[in-house]
Amino acid sequence: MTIKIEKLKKTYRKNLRFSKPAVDDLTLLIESGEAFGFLGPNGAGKSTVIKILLNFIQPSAGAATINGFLVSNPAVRRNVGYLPENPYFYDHLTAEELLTFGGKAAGMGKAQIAKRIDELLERLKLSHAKKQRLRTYSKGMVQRTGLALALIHKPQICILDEPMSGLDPMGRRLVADLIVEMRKNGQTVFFSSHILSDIERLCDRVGILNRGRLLYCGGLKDLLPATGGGLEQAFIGLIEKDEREQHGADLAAG
Amino acid sequence: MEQIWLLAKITYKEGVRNRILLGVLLVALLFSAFNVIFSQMFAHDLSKVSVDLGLSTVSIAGLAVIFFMGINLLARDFEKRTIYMVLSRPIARWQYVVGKYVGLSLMVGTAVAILGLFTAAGVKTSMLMAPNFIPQNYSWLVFAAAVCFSLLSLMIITALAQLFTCLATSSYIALLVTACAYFIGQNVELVRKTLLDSAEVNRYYAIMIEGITWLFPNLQAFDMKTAAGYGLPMNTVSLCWTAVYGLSYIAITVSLSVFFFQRRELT
Repeated sequence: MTIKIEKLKKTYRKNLRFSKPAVDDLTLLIESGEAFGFLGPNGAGKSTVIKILLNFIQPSAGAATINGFLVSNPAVRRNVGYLPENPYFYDHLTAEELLTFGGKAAGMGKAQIAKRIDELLERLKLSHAKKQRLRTYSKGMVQRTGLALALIHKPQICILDEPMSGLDPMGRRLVADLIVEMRKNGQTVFFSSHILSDIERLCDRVGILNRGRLLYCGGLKDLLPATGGGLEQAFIGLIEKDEREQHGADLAAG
Repeated sequence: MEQIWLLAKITYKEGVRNRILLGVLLVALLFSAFNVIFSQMFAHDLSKVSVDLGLSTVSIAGLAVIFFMGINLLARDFEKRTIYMVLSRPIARWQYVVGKYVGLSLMVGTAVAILGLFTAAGVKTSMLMAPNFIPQNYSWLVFAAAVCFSLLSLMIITALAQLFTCLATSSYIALLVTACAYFIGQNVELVRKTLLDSAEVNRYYAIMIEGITWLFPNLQAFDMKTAAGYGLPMNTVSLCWTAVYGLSYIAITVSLSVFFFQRRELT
C-alpha cells in the first residue's frame, strides 16, 4: 500500500485574470507501513493535498494514486481511514450508529462491526457514551469518535488531518499510542500536525510544505543534524529561508 | 445499492429525530382539530371544505418539513463538512446524491403518512358530526390517492431542493430558489391557460411561458382536492400518466443533481 503523488498542482482562481497555486508541482511517495508527518505553516497547502487524496477536490494538474489506483476511484477508500480537521457528525446519531455506518460502508459484517465498536470505544475511553447522541459530546469526545470512525474497518492507510487538535493531554496520549500501534501493525499513517513534538515522536519521515511547494521530504534524522537543534528549529529555519529566497519580493512589497 | 440504503437510513434517522419534525406534526395536529370545528360552519359541501383544509394541511406541513429540515440537512453536509464523513468511505458521489434523496423522501413520506392519518381522522369526525351533508358512497380510496399525489409533489420539491443545494453556496439561496420553484410550479399551468386562451398574447411571451411549463413542474397536476372532496370517480389512466410524469421529473432532477455534484469541489 503506497500513496503516490506526482507533479500535483492545484490552483484557485482569485479573479478573472489571476489564479493562486495552493499546491505547486508536488511529488511525494509514502511507502507502506511508514508514519509520515506532513508539516507546514497555516495555508501551506497541507489540507488541500489531503482533500485531493480523498477526492474531495480535483487537482488542476498531476495525479494522486493509492496503491496504484487513481484516488477518484471510490473503491480505493475501502482501505483508507480519514479523520478531518475539526470533524463534525450528524447530531442526532449515536456513536454506535455512526460507527456501524462506517463499518457497513466498508463492507464489514454485523458481528465484526459490533466487536470492533466495543474494542475501539473502550480504547478511546468512550464506552460510557456509546448510545449517547453525538450532539451531547464534548469537542474532545467528537475528535476521538472521528478517530474511531477512521479506524473502524482497520484500514491499511490512515490519513489524519490535525488529529491532536482539540484534545486534552490525556486524549493526545491516547491518539499518539494508537498511531504507534498502527505503525507496529504495518499500517501506513499520513498525518498533518502543528504539534512538532508529536511529529518528532511518532514519524519516520516528514514532508515540509510552504506556499504549496515541498521544501523537504525525508527522514527526521537527516533533517535534524543539518540545522543543529530540534525539529522546531529546523522547521522554522527552512520556512524562513524559503520566504527570504523565494518570496523576498512579496515581503518587501508587504 | 447497499451504500445508497446505508446513507438513506442515517439521513432518515437524523431527520426524524429532529425536534422541528415534532413541531411541524404538532401544528398539523392542531390544524386537524381546527378543521373539525371550522368545517361545521359550512353545512353545504362539508366534505369538500373538510378535505380541502385537511389536504392543504398535509401539503403545507410537508413543505415546512422540506424547507426547514430537508434543505437544512442537505446544506449542513456542505457547511459543517459532515459530507467528509460520508465521502471518505467507499461511496461514490452519485450514491451520495441518490442515498440522500431516498432518506429525505422517506422522512417526508413519514411526515405525510402521519399527517394523512390526522387529516383522515379530522375529516371522518366532521362527517360523523354532520352525516346528512356527506356525499353518498364517499370514496376513501380517492382520499388516499390524493394524499399519495400530494406526497409525489412534495418528492418533486425535495428533488428540486437537492438540486439547488448542490448548485448554491448557501442554504438561504437554496431555500429561496426552491420556494420560487414551488410558487411557479403551483401557478404555471393557470398562467399558461389564461395566456394561451387570450387572443392578443405576444408570440414571444407565449413561447417563454411554454418554455417555463417545460422547465418547472406542473404541481397543479398532483392536486386532487376536488375529486377527494366530492368523492368523484378516478380516471386511472390519467392518474398513471400523472404518476409517470412526477417520477420522470424526479429522475431527471436527481440525475442533474448527480451531474453537478460530480463536479463540485468540496473545499
